[in-house]
Amino acid sequence: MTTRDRLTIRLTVNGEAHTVEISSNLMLVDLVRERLNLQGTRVACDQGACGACTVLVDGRPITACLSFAFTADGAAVLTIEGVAGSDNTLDTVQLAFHDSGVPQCGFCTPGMVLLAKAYYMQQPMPEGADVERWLDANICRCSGYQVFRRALHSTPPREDAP
Amino acid sequence: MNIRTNTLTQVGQSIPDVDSRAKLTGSARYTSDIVIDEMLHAKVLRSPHPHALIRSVDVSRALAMPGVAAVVTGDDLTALDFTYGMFIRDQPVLAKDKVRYVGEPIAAVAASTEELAWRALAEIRVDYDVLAPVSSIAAALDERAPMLFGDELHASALPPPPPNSTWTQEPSPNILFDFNHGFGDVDGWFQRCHHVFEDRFTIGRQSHCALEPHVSLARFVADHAVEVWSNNQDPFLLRQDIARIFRLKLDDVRFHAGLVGGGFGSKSYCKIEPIAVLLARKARRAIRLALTMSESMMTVCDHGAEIWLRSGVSASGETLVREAVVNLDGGAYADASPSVAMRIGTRFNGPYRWRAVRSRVRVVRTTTIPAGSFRGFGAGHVTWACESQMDMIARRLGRDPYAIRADNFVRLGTAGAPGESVLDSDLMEGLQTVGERVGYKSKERVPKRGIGFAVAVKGGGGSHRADARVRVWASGAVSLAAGVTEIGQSTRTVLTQIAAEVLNIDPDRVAVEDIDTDTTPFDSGTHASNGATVAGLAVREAAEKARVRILEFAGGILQCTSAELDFCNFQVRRGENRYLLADLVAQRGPGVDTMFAGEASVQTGSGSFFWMPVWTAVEVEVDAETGAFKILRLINATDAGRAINPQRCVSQIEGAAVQGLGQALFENLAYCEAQPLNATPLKYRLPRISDVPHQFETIILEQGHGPGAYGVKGLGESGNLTIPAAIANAIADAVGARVTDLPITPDRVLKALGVASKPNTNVTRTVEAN
Ligand code: FES
Ligand code: FES
Repeated sequence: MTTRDRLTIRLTVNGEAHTVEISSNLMLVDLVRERLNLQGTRVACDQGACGACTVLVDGRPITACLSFAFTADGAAVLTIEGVAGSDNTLDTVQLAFHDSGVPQCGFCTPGMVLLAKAYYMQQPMPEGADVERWLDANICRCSGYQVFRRALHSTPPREDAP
Repeated sequence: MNIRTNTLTQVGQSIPDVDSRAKLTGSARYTSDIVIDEMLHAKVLRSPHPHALIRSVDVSRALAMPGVAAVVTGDDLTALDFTYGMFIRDQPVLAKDKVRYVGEPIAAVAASTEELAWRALAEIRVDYDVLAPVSSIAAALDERAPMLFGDELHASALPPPPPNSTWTQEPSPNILFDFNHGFGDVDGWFQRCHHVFEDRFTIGRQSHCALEPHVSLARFVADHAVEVWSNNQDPFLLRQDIARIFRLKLDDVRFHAGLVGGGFGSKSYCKIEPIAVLLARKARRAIRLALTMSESMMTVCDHGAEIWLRSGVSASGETLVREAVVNLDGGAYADASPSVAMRIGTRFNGPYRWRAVRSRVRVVRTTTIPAGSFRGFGAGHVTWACESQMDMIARRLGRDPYAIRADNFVRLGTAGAPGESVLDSDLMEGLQTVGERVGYKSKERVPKRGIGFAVAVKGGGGSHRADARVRVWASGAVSLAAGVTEIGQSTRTVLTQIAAEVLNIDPDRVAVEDIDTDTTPFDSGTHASNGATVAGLAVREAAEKARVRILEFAGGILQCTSAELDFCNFQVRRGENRYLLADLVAQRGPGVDTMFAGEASVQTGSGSFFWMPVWTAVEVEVDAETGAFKILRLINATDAGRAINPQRCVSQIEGAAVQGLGQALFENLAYCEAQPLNATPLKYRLPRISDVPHQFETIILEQGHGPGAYGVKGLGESGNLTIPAAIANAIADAVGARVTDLPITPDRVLKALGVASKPNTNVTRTVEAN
């Protein structure tokens, strides 16, 4: 067996500061799911093809199954557990998804929520066609995607996006 | 039993899925999230060869690695009843002596980490004697083809053939199953009919690609008792399989099932569960075996097929006689193929009246991924061929494809074939609905644009048993237990609504229990779109029994008959008086049970318990230079009988439609020579939002004839069936090009354009109603 480099990284996850010692080949999704016990992030294809593992790193959506954990050193990571308010009130995207009936099996849902959220954080005045370009990154095998259109066309642009 | 007939308050409401918040906030838990203390991680070594004898497997170096706890191979199967398969048990838990497809499990390692288990796989040495592959149906049927198996028949548990059918199990080693079905004087009608049309259709393999890959956890709680968690939709069938394979008593096997991250057929029947159990037994530790999505894609796929249709019609286009010959590519092992073959063989009459039909369906073994159940269970194969040909016949006769369908539909309340249950939908209403919506009659023709229709009817819910238990606590909580697995179809929500309807309570008060075969009432499996319909009947009856018990109890205290009482929001009502159930229970003092339970069991007969129709209209625009085409509009309608939750019905049908769209446009799990080309998510093209036309409409009819509670019937498998044929028909309408192979790629359209005799067949849209 090879010995691998170990290193210490500092990051915030959902606003909480963490200092963790990791091996250099640890993937961000494993850091989140196994070390920090935040199991809402899903692993589906594990190849960067589906976006089920999407988390936001400094507001940018990335596929955590394909990102080394050390690349998040010094970053602010947002996972699905950090999206709803502390009293578990749904945020705008979650609420729009809830009202439109987005979740079916729900396995793609956390990634889709974060992807849409990242879009609204970057585009305070969203255009329908543009959000679709973003959502094209992720796969939902259960829905016909039309439900995402219905949900997001009802979501008002957020000016107070964190 | 007294089912109240007042207006419905819960049924028909589009409440969000009961797990919606948990799924949106990341707190929903799936089997892939389960962690058992001290568990080991397992990985599977898979065959790189499509066909080879295994001379030896040397695991010593893997076993010597620190952290590796156990390795299992075919040698560990000797004392077991080690094969499985839905009706014909030909698939070994691990390859024994021979491998029959690339990706077949040969050995499995349990180690302290997943990474270590991966590394240990590389240390296993397998010595193969490579044999010639059998990569296609044609190769398997060749006289000189290598045989996948010897001459002996495998153990089987085939049910009696359906009416007017016969079957032969393994007539030769490369043919798993030969199914024959028919009614009427086929030869006589072929002589009497005016026109006979013969066409051939092919269909590629589709991969399920549910986002949650297969995962199983197993641990022995004593030498003879095992507990398994698996994201399988058949926990009770799996319990039987594991008990049989490992020679355990049925009640010593316990299965758990929670939320499943999608299935579409890939998670029905036995899959990886025996490997996890085998390792748990050998390592004497809890095991977690989680596949990657690539491995899931190599575990099961849909059937590739070739279909010949010979159909005879009268001068006016009356459907008279049909003969179908089908070769299904079953892959290396049986899985659910015999059952799929029976469904296909009995459905060639489709939604039309025929005087005589004969079919032969053979499942051919090839050295490819085992084919199993896929949403529609073969109905998509039948529909692709039949609905394409229906259009071709109309155009050849110069008749309107819409009108020829309308003329020949099976009528509501009549049987489509001898021995079949009667049709419980009005097919004409559905066709008119999508026809009007797409503007078939009213729209002006635009060059290169065309409209295509397709209609299908799939049977649902047959031979199924569903039990349910509803418990009402005086404190104001209801617990619902049923064995239907939640795979994203919102069964938990729909059953909750039914219980809430009967008990006159808010659905928030109902909690659905996770499935545990030790305590959950029996269910023969989440199949054939039966959840809402069959389990729904059981839940309604169980809830009604609980309600009756509450009223009888209250009647005892209030000194009246229960007929004078009603139950609403956990209050017993008598005229203007309201009594809180909790207070009535308290009045009786200690020693009174505060819980009122009802149980029920529903068993359906062997035919179709209900019929799932689907009507599709598609408008396309074709670029005749390149063969590329754009779907401008897709309209899909189905009949829910009664929609318990219209929004959840729409979700099902939309999702199915886009699965059908993927199959129509690009999904195809292909082989290059003997090697799989794209059995991995990076290479297998799945539909994305940009593939879905903006004008994509779903219509849920409620014709009210379903046999389930409040008239409901299942619909989850209908929405994908007609999409490919409707698209092909629209392309033919636009430019006269007829594609008969799936997927419908631009190069196939271009090729078909080359052979199209006229650029447009120019059928008059007459729309002769009824
Ligand atoms: S799981 Fe990371 S992209 Fe699919
Ligand atoms: S809800 Fe199942 S994959 Fe999107």
